[in-house]
Amino acid sequence: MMASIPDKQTLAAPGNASDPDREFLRVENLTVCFGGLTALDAVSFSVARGSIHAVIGPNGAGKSTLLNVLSGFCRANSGKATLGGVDLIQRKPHEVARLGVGRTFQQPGVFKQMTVAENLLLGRHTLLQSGYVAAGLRLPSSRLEERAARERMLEFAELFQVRHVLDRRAGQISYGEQKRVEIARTLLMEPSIVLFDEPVAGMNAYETTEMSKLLARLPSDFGVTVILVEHDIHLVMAIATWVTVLDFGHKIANGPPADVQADPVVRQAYLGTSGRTKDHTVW
Amino acid sequence: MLAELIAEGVTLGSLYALIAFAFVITFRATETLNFALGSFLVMGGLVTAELSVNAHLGFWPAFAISCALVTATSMLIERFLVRPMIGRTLFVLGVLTIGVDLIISTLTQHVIGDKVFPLGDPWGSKVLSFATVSLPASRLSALIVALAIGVGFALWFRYTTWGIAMRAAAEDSATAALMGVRLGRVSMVAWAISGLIAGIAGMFLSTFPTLGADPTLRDVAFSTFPAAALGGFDSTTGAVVGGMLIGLVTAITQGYESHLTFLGASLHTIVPYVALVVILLINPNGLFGTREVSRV
Repeated sequence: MMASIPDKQTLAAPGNASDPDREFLRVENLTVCFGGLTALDAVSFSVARGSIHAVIGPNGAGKSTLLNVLSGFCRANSGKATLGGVDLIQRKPHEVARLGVGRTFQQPGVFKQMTVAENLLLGRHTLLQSGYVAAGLRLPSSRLEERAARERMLEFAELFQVRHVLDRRAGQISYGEQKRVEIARTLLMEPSIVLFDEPVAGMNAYETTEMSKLLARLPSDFGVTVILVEHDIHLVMAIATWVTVLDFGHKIANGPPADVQADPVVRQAYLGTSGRTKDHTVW
Repeated sequence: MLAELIAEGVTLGSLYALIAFAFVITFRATETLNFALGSFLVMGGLVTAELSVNAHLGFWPAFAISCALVTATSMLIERFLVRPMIGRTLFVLGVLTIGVDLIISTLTQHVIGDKVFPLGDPWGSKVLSFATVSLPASRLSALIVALAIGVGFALWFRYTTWGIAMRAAAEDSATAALMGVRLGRVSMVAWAISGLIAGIAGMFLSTFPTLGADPTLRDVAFSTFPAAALGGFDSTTGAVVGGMLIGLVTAITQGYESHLTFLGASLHTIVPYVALVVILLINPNGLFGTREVSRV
């Protein structure tokens, strides 16, 4: 089952020569199988530093699997993924996090039993140097670190408009607020790339607009590269700088939003051969 | 009479609460019911006694070494038995710890035999009196230490980022890992804390009015399982309240059982379980628990 398809490999090859910023994240021939099902089949693409790179596709296309592999939740059968030249594959989630990969979930991954402030502080966890013992004994070094973490946390709470709910349990605040807490927490980790899994799923029109403004600002304001898995095509077309389309584990298109939108193969994957569904207004 | 029984119940309850806390913390971190906790207690008492009196090390060094040893044992169990089994059912891990319990208690039984090992502790059989209430000095110290440990860990869990990381891992380990929390280290620290607390509790349970370290200490752990279950297996607050409750009920029953001879001579040994059954009938999650431990 070592499905290394030679022509796809040569397709990816010219990238070797180009500059590292254009291939900040590089996925090469990534294949993931679950039992008999091939969720990702030799998928290759690269993500430029500071871009908003959308990964779209119908349900079951392998988008979530891609995010799971990149964040260490699931193993790849073959292929590579490197971030700034560092291998991401076959690492544990906490190692991937420490390499600068942040991730948000479709259902806000906040800790509902804990306060918003605690949720946000967790984002600083990887950046703290002192261990359990120093923290337990409240040694000066660890106290200083914790104070710095707290200040930064407050700054972000302000920025993401969740300062007023800092002491509430995260399970008690609104859905939109939970999403903002999750994103603020992820950015507090000072990641170089953030993987967003359907950030506007379940949001109303107003919340969606606010979120898309926020996402669009991330590369310039926080210096992060964004990978966006999203079903909302309007959002993708509005803010993405590059789009990769997956269908049944295969990459079927890769390019700037306008090109991808015009691609007949993509239209077919989304709309079926007839092209006459209610969804056609989307395109 | 009642005031004294309550005082006794509170001091005993504080030790039960500690043990229940030790039980809960490993359950939260690794979803493991650690039935080996009873033999940890025996170990804590026995090693302290052995080193303090028989090896003439003096009480405090002996106690420190004993705590280190129990902590190390707990960490070894985590590393070599629990961690490779993570993700298996509650049942598998529970049976595993029962096996460990049998091994340790057989070893300690072998050493102790039918002897009793006094600890040579500084409290001896001193009794302090406050108005009508008199309490063994050892039990009062136990209460103070238990309170200090309880408050200390509560603050640590609440205010340090490490404490927050441990709570996060207990609530949702996958997301915590994405935040860079090392789950392996969280589970190791949880078991270390659990072992340390069991070592301390084991020592105190072997002091006056108990004569010294003896194998029946293991049964104490079994009467704290109701304490943990009562509070809700995943709640540290529940462990404290449950422990106190069981301590009180046990002490009060023990005090009055001479008047209730028709119920038998050692009613207090079954009372914790009666309380457990009653509370779980009313609320299957325990007093403070958030999830029901699935029935096997």
